[in-house]
Amino acid sequence: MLDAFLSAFVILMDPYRMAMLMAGVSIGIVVGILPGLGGLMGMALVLPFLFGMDPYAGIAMLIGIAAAVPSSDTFPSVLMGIPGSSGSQATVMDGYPMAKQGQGARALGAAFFASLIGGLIGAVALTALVPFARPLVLMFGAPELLMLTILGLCMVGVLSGNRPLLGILGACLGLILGMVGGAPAAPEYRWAYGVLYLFDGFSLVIVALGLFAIPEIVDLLARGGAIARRSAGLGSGWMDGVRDVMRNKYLVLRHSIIGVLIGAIPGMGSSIIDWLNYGYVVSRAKDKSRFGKGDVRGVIAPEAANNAKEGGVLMPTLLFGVPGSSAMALLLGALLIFGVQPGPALLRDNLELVFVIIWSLALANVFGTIICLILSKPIARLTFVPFQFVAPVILAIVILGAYQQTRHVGDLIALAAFGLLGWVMKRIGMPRPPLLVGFILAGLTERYLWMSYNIYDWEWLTRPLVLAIAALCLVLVFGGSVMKARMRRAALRTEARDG
Amino acid sequence: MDEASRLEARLRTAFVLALLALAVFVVWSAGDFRRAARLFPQYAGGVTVALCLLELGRQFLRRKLLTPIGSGVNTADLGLDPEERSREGMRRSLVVFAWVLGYGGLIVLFGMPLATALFIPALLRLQFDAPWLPALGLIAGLWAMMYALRALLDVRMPPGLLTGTFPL
Repeated sequence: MLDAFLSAFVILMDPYRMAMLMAGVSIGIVVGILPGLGGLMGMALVLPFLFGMDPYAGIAMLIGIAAAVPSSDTFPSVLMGIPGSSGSQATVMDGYPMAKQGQGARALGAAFFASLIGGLIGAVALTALVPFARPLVLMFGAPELLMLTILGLCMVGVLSGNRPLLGILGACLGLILGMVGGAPAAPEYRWAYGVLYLFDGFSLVIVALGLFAIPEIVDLLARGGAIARRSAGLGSGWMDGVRDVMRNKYLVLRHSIIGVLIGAIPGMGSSIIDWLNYGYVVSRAKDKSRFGKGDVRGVIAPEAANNAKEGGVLMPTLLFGVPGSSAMALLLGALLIFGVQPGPALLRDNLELVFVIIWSLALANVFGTIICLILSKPIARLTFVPFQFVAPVILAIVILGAYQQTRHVGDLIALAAFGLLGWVMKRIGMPRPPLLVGFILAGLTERYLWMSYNIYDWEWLTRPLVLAIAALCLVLVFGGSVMKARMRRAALRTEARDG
Repeated sequence: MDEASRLEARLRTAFVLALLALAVFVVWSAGDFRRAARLFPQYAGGVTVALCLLELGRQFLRRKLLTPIGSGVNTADLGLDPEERSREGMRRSLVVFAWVLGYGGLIVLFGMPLATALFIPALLRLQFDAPWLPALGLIAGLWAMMYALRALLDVRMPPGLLTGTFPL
């Protein structure tokens, strides 16, 4: 195994393959910076060029794209408050307030460094877990996956701050919106009214861009001036962010491991991992008062998990031939183009290729982070440009990104409708992240509920892992409420004492 | 409770009422679906109805005790500045939203490149009284970006309903 590990490194050091890896990283950075375009699009773009290419070079390029997007999508999330891709939605919550306070470079530095460490932990975990991953992944049947989605819904309480009921209502609205289109468990189109565009339901990218990007663009334009106050300065740059990560090293480790573990479960998309980690870091923090206002931990945790999950999603992809995410489905396609059969035989017959993938993942994370760190300071200066000159560019990119989902005029109408919904929710103090969580989890919850019920009847409720995750859900819901009640009482006591 | 908070509270009540109506519709209309497609909407819709009633009851009974938005702990979402929460702030925001919708309308009619060429000078000149030069520079930059995205990433532009009728 060590021989294959070292020889894979030598294979990848070939200049042509390294150039292809760098090309992949560059493409990943570009599509990550543009909101609405993601790794899937970048990988789809290069897929036709893989025919006839050296397999190691082609795979390195694809992994380069997949690894660079979770780092570079942080730019729009932090600087504009617009999720760069589905995996950087939670970063907006604290990264953007930091940018508004003139700490854009620090937030970016922290995000990129956490991404680097997370990505490397993902690669190490993939290397270490290759022999043991099979039983781990097989432990999760439909009931356990259902419980994981319910765990995600329980995070809504944490994401709702001092208004849990409003947050839960937001999640319910997300669930309802997520039901539009084809039912996951029956051949039935719900609330589509014969409109072809609605048959597939609403696109997550459009919902996220509408809820977060449009209201932010509108409010920044209405406010006038730049995103950050010039008096606040850029902050002391990305080194502060790096130091923040060093100070929170256990946080990075914890969330990277969570990212790898959840990423290894097929179907758990990057947005779920992102919000789960954000909710978890908030729920575990002793001082929650800074979250949502620019707490660097709210940037570090989801970013570390987001990059680490790439190591996780590769596990089912390589070990079982089951794509861990939609981007990994393209990687599987690429493997087939090169005549490589993914699955258990891959480890036996082509171990070098597995390690080339792991090395590519590690190196792409390093290169991607270095490039992003170099770019962070000049790009952070964008926050000082009067927003009326930035807004048309951002708006055009958002509209283009939304239009790429189905390339139908319905994309533009849906973007406007969700933009209006997001604007109204922001105005009236209804938290928007729970809506997004509900929307993301609607299809999965319904599918796994139906599968669990059909396969196990109600006996699925007695499975040990189900009970363990249910206990975790209870701790999250009631633990959060108890802590909030304590905080409220403490605040009241302080007010009474201060007269 | 100040005027902005009162306005927010009223709008929030309206929002919950609208959500209640939507949830009732979901539960009622899901009855026509097959069992496998019906169960989840009915459960989720039923829970939503119950929670909406709970929230409305809470707002009705405890309106005066509720903490105004913006104070206390809120980890949930990005907030608004006090002046943005005022009636004037909302009016300004609505005007800008109308501009954004106008851009969308122009794109649907004329396609992305032409709509951009019309929207940017209109927004910058009429709304922000900006000089012509940055507007023209932005148009040129955006056209270059669109061309690059089209050529390099195969990003398609929304074509516009009238582009088939007129050679725009």
